Amino acid sequence: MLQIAFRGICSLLLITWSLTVHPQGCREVLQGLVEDNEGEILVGATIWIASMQKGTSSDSNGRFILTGICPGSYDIVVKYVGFEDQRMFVRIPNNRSLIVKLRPSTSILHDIVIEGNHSEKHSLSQSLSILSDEQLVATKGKPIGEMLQQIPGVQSIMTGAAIFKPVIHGLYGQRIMMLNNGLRQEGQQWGIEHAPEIDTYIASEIEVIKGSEAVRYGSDALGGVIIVNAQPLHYLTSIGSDLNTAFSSNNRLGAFSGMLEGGFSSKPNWGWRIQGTIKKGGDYHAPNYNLSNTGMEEFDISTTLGFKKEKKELEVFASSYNTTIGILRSAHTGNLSDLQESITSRRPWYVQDFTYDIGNPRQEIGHHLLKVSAKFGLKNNGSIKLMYGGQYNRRKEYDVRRGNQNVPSLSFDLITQTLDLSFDHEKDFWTGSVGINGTLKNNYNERTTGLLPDYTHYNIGIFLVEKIRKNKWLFEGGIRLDRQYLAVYLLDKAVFLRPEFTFYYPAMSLGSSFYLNSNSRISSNLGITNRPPHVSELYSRGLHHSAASIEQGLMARDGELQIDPSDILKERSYQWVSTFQHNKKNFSLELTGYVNYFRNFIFLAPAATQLTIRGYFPVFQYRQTNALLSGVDLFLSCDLTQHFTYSTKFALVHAEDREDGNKLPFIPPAQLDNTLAYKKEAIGKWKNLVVSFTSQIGFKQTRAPETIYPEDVPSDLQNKIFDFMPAPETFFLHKVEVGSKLPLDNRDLTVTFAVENIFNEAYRNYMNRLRYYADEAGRNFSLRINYTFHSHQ
Amino acid sequence: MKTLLFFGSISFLIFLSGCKDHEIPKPVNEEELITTLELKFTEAVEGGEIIVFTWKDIDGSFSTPPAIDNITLKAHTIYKLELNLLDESTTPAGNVAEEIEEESEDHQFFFQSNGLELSFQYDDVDTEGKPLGLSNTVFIEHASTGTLTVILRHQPDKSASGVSDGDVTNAGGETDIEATFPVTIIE
Repeated sequence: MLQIAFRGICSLLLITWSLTVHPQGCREVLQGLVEDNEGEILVGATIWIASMQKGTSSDSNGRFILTGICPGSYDIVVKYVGFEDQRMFVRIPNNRSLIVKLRPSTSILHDIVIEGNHSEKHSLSQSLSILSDEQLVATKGKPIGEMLQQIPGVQSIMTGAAIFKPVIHGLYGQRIMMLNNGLRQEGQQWGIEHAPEIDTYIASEIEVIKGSEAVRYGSDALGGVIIVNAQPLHYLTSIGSDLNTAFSSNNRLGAFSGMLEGGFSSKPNWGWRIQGTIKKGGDYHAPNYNLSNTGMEEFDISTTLGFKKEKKELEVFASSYNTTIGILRSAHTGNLSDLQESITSRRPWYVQDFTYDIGNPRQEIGHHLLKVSAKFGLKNNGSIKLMYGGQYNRRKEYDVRRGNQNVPSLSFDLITQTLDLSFDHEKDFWTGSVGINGTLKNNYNERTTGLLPDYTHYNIGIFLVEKIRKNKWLFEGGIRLDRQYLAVYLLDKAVFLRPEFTFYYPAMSLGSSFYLNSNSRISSNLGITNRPPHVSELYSRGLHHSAASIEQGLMARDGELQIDPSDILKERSYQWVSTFQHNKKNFSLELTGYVNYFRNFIFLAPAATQLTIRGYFPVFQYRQTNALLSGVDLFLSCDLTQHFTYSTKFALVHAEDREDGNKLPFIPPAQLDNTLAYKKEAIGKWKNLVVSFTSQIGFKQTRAPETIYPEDVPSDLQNKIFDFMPAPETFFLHKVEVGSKLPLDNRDLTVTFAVENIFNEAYRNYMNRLRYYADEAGRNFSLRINYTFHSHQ
Repeated sequence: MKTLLFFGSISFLIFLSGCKDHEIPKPVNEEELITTLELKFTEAVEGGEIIVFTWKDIDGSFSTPPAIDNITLKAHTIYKLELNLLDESTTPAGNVAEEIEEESEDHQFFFQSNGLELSFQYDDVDTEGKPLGLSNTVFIEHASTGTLTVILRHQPDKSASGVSDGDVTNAGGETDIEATFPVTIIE
């Protein structure tokens, strides 16, 4: 977060950082001189490499130097007050000094690249946060949802200690989109215990847009977008490599990830990369007992092949993600009486010694992806982009059962194909993009029709986004229209039903940024998004053991399946997000406020109890209401002395049901993190030593739904929203982290050591679905080593 | 531009060709399903009367409410009680009792009565010599009315205090069956 704010604006700081912190395997230098068309030097011009998110500014002699650049080909932008932007294509390594000539402009005044040219194609008036390479190195090996919690306003719904589902401003699941190397990730996002299927070792950077990007990506991006970016290919014949290992004491996890990249000596425009990860962890351990059956294993492999020639780019990316995750054994309950017993006893009913073995319940997930993308540069800086994505998501969930433990109780195959075509144009102070997205999805149940039915989904969307930068202002606006066809294959009391639906749903957004001065800006964005319900929200039906509950979709009322499309109400969000950013060398502040009003907000709420041969179960029914979510995120950092930096972050979400005053479930409680960091540029051969101490306060959710213990659940719930257990008390966690880097000739070694939950606090987290059964994991020592190597020719 | 057209048409073709057809879904077949619990009471005398009562929930967790028999037993009588468990959602019906017998050390039945004057005794054991509860003896005393709840626990702790004597309190594990019958004991 610190880097996010700094990177775009504070060139001086950037120089300092870039001198000391090199991204992986990147030790090349680019230097040059900026002058005007009459040969006068220009002081303070911004030099920016967008694909590396790296920049600097020219010094008092008009000279600039950028270090720590990965070998490769780059588009470089040079900007200066009152001059037209100059764009160049540069190959690195480059031994010559660049001379950049800028032409005066009559129209463009000072335009500080405060947003750091990040996600030029995304909304610039939105609240954007970035996890930089340095922040990622310190958390690599963790689930992506856990890494993202570093960003204020981003939290997670957890299922045990290994499954993290990202929550942005209180929204999750079908309302959050993930872009995996530019491609929309298509898995079974609807499930609250379904984590994103992404190997975090691929990422060199993760961006999070905390607001609607529905205009660009469709209604799934209503609540925000998480963008996982890999390092651009370097197109050099020399070999580069990046090796990572991570060890965690709590679950005795070992992770290893390796990457190798290079080019072809006979084909200078081609580059390749191959990358793989293996991970194996055993049971986590809470301070007072073992969390039995919480082991995991993961095996991922990916490969990239690219072609780049001036205005043409082609990239093929293929990846395979495979994981098995154990679910806390004691969280598998029979009925409401069992749940009551779990809640009242302080200790889970099933505790065994540590093991790496993964029994049932468990999830087995495979996600296989192929992406082919092409970009063609046109005159006037315009370009055409085309991307095809094919994804195969396979999810098997195994319950505790009699007999063969290898028969899944849920087994879904989701095959998604997407085709995106966009035309980007850019002229003076005006940029924009127009495009079309097509999606074709098929969901298959392998053996049963459990929980989520088979369906076919076709979607086509067209959009137009335009941005104007003028003087101290930036204005942007976008519109989009989607058409979705949905056919669902159902079996109701042995009768085959095939309801069909066609949804039309528009989205629009308007935004603006005002640059108060070169260090500060105010942004505001207003978005209106319509979202048709997902199949799971319409037709899910089945028993969830880990919550001892039966789930029913909007169209499964009172045990009867409805098929009339006129029964469906689209969800509509009116969202307003505003951000104030101030970034100076010694002090930075980012404050985001938002209001999100939903008409027909879809959520899962308890509705009735049902008697089965296993006893009583609560029935959770998808419902719609008018809801209001609002909140603030704050980040503040200041240098106390030359070596000490203090930073704080805070997030608060307030949610209410505007129809009947009920409190909404799964809303993250307030959280406050304070960090004191000590930085030293060098100790002997070790560079960039950082020692930090963080104290986190996870506040009690004071607006949790009322408590009704399982044994007290009435047969008629009268639309009450409740929870089986009171919200856990406020908890305090402490963490120490030490990191440093040892630069060697053509190698870098980065070592990070951390202790989490130092005082081995036994606590429960409101956002963990398994809090009815067990405490959170206890103290954890972790060690991460990153080794990068680049051979020069 | 040619490359673009080529690439575009290739990806369009892949896009169009990309799915297998959906079949008509097969009936829900939850492996774990127990639809029917049968209690077979046999009077423990030569040629004693056999009476069977069932607790049946044919569609598992969904719409149809369960059908529950009223149990009527005679006072001052000793019955042999045998339990049978079926999955009648499939044809032929699955015999769950057999599966339970195969994994006997992972299962135990418990009987809880409310307002009734009777007592239970386990007549069978698992592979480790601990009670199972598929065959039992019931000792009926005076006339009374109340309820009988049959509980089946999966992976209970059979060594915990009282569990072998039929007390479910410390058994742990998870509930596979918790079925309550109304009972009348007549003189």
